[in-house]
Amino acid sequence: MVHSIAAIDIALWDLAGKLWNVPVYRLMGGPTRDRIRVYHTDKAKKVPPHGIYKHSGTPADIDHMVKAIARAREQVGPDGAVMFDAHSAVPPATLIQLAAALKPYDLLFLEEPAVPGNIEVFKRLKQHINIPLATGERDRTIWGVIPYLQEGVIDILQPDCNHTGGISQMRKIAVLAEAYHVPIAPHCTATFLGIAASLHVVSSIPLFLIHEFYPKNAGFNVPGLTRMDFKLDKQGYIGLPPGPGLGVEVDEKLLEQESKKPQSYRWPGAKLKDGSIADY
Amino acid sequence: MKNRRECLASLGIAAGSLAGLGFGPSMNQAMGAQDKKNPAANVADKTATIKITKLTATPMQRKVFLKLETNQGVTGWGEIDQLETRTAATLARSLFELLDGENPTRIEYLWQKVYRSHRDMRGGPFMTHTLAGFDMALWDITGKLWGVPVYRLLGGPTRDKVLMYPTPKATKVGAGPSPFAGTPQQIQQHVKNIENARKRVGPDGMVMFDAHCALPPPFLIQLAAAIKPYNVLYIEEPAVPGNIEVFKRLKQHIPIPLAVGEQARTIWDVIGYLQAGVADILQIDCAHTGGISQLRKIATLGEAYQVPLSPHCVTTDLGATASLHVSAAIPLFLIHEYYASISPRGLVKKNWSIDKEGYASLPEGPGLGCVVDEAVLAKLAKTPSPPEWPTRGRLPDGSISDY
Repeated sequence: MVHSIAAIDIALWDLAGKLWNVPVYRLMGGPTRDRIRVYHTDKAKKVPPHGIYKHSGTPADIDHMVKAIARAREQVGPDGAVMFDAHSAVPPATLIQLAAALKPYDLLFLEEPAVPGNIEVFKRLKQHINIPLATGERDRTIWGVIPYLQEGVIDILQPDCNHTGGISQMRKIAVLAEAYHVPIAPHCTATFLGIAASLHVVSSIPLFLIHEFYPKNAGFNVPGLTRMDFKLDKQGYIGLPPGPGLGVEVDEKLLEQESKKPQSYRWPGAKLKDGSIADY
Repeated sequence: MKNRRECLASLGIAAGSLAGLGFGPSMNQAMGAQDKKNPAANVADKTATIKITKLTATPMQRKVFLKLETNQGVTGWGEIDQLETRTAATLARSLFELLDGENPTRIEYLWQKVYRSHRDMRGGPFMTHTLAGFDMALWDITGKLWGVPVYRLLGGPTRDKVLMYPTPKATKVGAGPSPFAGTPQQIQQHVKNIENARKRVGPDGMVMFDAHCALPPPFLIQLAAAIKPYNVLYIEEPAVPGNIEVFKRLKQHIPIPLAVGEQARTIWDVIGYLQAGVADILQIDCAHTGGISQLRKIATLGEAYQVPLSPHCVTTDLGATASLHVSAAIPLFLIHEYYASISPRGLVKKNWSIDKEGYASLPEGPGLGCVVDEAVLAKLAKTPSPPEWPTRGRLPDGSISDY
């Protein structure tokens, strides 16, 4: 439901911005900043959990992840940001061990430390892990987010504009986060339509950390289908999203062509080595 | 990209025929941006070159009116309430340093710039009440620039009309300020007042009781038990803010909804009540809490805890209209306070009215949709109004009480 509402909500803001001939962030009291810090860049890298479906909890398994993170830190240097995405795939006990080993690499945050659903798991992890915890891509409304904040288990919130009901709801989540001094680092794997919607939100809220940004990932973004002007500077920032509205152009002809292609969706279906189903 | 005119042109319609196409009066109002009478209609570049150029802060009776001007002839109005007026006007003029030359449509940025300007004044009432005046004026300017009522910039309207009180069907009985003795006779007096109010409004009306922080907790608990039969909508300000434990105790013993918030100034003041589950209704005041921007954020917190907003309001029609724009744009709302008698005659021309059932029509814009008569304002400003510190809170023994 909320993913569908998100698309409608984003279109409505686009329309309103175009009607009044302004970028969406200007309808929301923005801009609150001049440019937006994004990743991945030369100065900000996120490391995925290697062998996402293969966690065995052995020293070799942990060492593998530590090495990847050490490499990322080397690449970005001491003035860069390294993030680790546990992707809800690393069991709590292993994650606690891993986090202890990661301490020297100064992670910006540890993402999705556990599968959402049982706040007690997050409390346990927060107690044992001395690295900021980030989560939120699977939490869909203000009501999904409030327990993390109330229990103080999350340091950084990662709402996804396209998951959470769009610009309207993401903005509300940012307000809750502001009340708890928790910055927003939006999750984003959408096309420029979704990217722009999310960028307009962070252009108009006070408390923000860094934005996930994959402009050229063909997996999310069919080349040429959606277009948005942006420029990445050397420090890893992009400018404010253009307008009016979202400031995105959709190639409707290409959209029609793409939609005519046979849709080859495959359910992810993560499995462990023994053939059982894994979280991912 | 198409701008509004091109969008409409591509629909093959002219502005005059909008009403016939199902656009409401608000949409026609939006077209007011093209009207010669709205200076904003002629601003070609509304984002890059528009700048705040001037502030006029005018103390008037117990309020301060703020007028913000821009280099494009578009002006915005705001109201500072509940501060000593000379102090407030001076503070506003000083803070204007932070707004001068800025783009007035960057409301959230400017809110943060003022609010966080001084770490040790952050969040205090002098700061937030003054900021409220600025915030209202910035929304007013921005609405005028885009040619729409402010509630449309807030994603509204979420409702067609806004329920108001006091009306013949919704009345509030006050407890304070009154010397408090705690005798049965005094309890009976309050009970009698509430019983009479219930008789007046009938079973389909609303009675609220304002404890006004004036009744000590044990007394309020006794009183609450005695007024149970009269189905009070809520008890307002059951205790002085500051110690959440007092609210927890009252919540545990009083089976009537508790309303708090007129002295809560930011999201951070409000979250404690919500997290402790002691507030059933939030009575935030737009003019106390940093204006439209912060009132709206507080409404979002209320929504997360399913606690409706019932705004406190003792401003002139200018501040009341600002508050109404928020009520017109949020999902969870109960009832809005409003006293027409607070506005000096002829000072503010507002763009909404209250119907027989006690509902206000949506405040139409552009902007706040209020016109301030500057000649009347100048005249009122000349009438001496010496600063008046309330001295009502006195007990019979001469000691100071809450009120």
